[in-house]
Amino acid sequence: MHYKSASERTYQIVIHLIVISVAISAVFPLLYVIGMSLTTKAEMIARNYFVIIPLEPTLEAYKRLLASPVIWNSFVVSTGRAVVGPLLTLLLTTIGAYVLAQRTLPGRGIFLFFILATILFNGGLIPTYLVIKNLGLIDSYWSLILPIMVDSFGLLVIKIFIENLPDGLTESAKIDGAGEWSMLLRIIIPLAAPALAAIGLFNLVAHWNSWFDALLYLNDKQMYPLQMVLKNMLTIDSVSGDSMNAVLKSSQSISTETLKMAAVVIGIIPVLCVYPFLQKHFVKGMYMGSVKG
Amino acid sequence: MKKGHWSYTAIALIMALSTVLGACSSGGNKENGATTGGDASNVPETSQASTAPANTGDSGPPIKELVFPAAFPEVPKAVDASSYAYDDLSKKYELDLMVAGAFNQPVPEDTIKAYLEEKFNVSIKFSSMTGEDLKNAVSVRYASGSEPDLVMFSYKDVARSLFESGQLLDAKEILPYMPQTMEYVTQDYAKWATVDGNMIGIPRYPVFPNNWGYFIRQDWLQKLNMSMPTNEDELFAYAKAVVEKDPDGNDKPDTWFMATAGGGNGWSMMDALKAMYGHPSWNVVDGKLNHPMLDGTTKRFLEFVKKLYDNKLLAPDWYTIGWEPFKAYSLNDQIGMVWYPGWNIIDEQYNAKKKDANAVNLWAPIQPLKSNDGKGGMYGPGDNPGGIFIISKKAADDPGKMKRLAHLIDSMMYPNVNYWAVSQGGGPEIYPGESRVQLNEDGTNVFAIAPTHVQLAKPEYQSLADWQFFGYSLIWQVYDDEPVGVLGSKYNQEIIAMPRYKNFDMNLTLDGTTSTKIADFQNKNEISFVLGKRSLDEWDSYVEEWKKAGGQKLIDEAVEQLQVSKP
Repeated sequence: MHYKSASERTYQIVIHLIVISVAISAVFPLLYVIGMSLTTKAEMIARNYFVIIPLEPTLEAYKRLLASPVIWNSFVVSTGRAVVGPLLTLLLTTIGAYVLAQRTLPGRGIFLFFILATILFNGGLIPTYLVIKNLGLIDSYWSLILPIMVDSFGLLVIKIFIENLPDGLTESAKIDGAGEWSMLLRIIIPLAAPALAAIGLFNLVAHWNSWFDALLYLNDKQMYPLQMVLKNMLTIDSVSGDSMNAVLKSSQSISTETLKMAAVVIGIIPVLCVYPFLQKHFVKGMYMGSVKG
Repeated sequence: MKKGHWSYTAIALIMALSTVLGACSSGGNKENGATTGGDASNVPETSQASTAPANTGDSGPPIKELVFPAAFPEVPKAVDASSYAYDDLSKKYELDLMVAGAFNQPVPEDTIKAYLEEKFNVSIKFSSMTGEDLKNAVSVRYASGSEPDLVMFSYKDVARSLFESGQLLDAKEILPYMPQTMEYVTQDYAKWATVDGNMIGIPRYPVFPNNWGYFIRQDWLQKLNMSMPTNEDELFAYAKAVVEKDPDGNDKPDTWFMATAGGGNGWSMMDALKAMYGHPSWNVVDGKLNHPMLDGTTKRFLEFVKKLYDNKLLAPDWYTIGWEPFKAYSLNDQIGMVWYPGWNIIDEQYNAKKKDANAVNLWAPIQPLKSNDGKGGMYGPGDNPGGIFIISKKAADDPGKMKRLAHLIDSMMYPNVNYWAVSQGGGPEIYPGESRVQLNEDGTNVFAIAPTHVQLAKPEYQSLADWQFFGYSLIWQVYDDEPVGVLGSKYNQEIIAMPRYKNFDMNLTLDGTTSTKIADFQNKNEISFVLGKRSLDEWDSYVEEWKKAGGQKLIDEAVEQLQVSKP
């Protein structure tokens, strides 16, 4: 039977306290946001705008937001790009990485240079806009997907991972009659699943959170993704919001803060739902490409 | 060809595609289906305002000579419809309009756009977005040659840059076709919008009138047996009484004088107290430039705030609390004075007290205060333009299109024919029976929409209200609902009528980076004086630091722009 010494016990207590503190500090803001999103304006004022557990919870803010077809429409747009975007990214990144991992590829160095240089440099706002415009993609959903469809950093990670695989693996597959597609689909991709999951998750979160591209490339507001819609809701700050009440002659029973918090919750729920399923692949995938053997 | 070679070829093609998409593109074909930006080299020479257009039946502009009025009209009136004889509405045009809106959300059906398109025989592309987003979007659109025809926004510096790069129309070319708008382009506004003799855009009258003022708890004054404060000593006495004499009668030490409510970012609510001691911004005295940092105004203001702080008369977290959270104090009988727009404080207090009619009588406006030596007695400068309309040179390529644009925008100015139609989410012309308009003899108006109006009843139509930011204003708006509207309007008008310092800021375009840096410098340092971390005896050396931090550069710029002597 293992008896812990006093110092060991002390150490365990200290470690647990630190970890619990960090965990509370991580989850507390989320609880605050959720609590505030369920609080009435009167209670918010009475409790000095600090509510974790509302005494008279209300779903009014969610009802108002979710009753709006604008929110649902933008939710569909965001979901669409968060599904199509990462899938295309993974497809092209994987194939590109597999090709670039082949040491016998003529001109490999030049291709690598072109692709990896984009990690450090990009064309900038105006040239990118001009490219999108000249491709006829203004007011097209593809303007939200194509510019970030190939992830250079992810390509690098996968490429290094493939290069680190034992040569015997691919050689024995070739001996058994496997072609390049078979090797990619049946050997490489299953082994690289954690890294692909990490890259896919990063890309999904990037697509889900993006709004600036929508601002530039979409004139039709019906095509706005969720974050753009929520951002516009959040940017009516309380002072101008009060002034807007005078302009619009509409005093709201729901505080601006409640609406903002509800908008934040709506925006993060999908990511919160997806993340736990990919979490186990996440950390492993991040370092997989960099560790040899 | 061997099987492997087909695979390699396919993989090579896919890799090439990856390279193209992952690396920089060299640009594609110029296939533009929608309205396109023109090549800057094709922009024509500036046209004369009085040139007759190619289309027939044009009687020329209604204004033959631009004469800017000294002030807004006493009683605004709509111009006669015959003023627009220059536009027979026969030809259809495409107009691309952008505005800094409030909601900026999509609407299922833009009824206002449909109304204007039918009325003016146009096809409109309408974009509304927040001010900062609009700045980015406009910059990108102009830089890429897809400039919109007209933008209404607040950034004069951006407008100036665009004008200097030859992208904008001189507003003097279009103003002769906008008689309603011209009534509000005062001499000061015209000067504000003019750079090197050219009008870079059309100044817009403000949305919000000068209706921000100090409001005091008049019920507490009565309870404390005190009269309305008129100077700093009387104000301090009131502040002390609020904290020490339990004006809310609950036997708890939970009442305070006021707070900044600026979230730790400046003096916010308390900033207007500076006006007690002198002009709170750039100004000119005896032909010399002056600034509150240089003439002791800021120092005396900080001394007063320090006195309040040292005597513990300010609310807890008075400096760090934000605007919205501060309502927990101000609307809950814990604060003696606030800085607010007239109608708003009445409305918010009324709603905070669950629509108790007595609540509207708690607050009353206070006349601008004076210092003990008789300075002040005025509020800070107001009357800044509410934005600027910039028109692209491309819009003037077709004179008929330019006139249609002028006609449409002018019709939305107060109190012209489409002013109410495009405001509050759609006036009686679009939603008959859902809104009420009453134009008064004195030029003011009552404009109320019913709770069943689509803009209020359906959240997804909220953004219809963004159309009003072309022409809507509260300057002439009054309310006749009881108990909030009548009293709120009265207080608005009282504050608007209060004396104000002259506005010199309007005619200054100081370096943005330096101005921001100086503002941050002041925010960071001035609080130290109030908290006692730095002695006010060091004020002179602080002023020197301020100058070195960028203040001297701003002084030099202001001297040059206002054409006065150095301080």
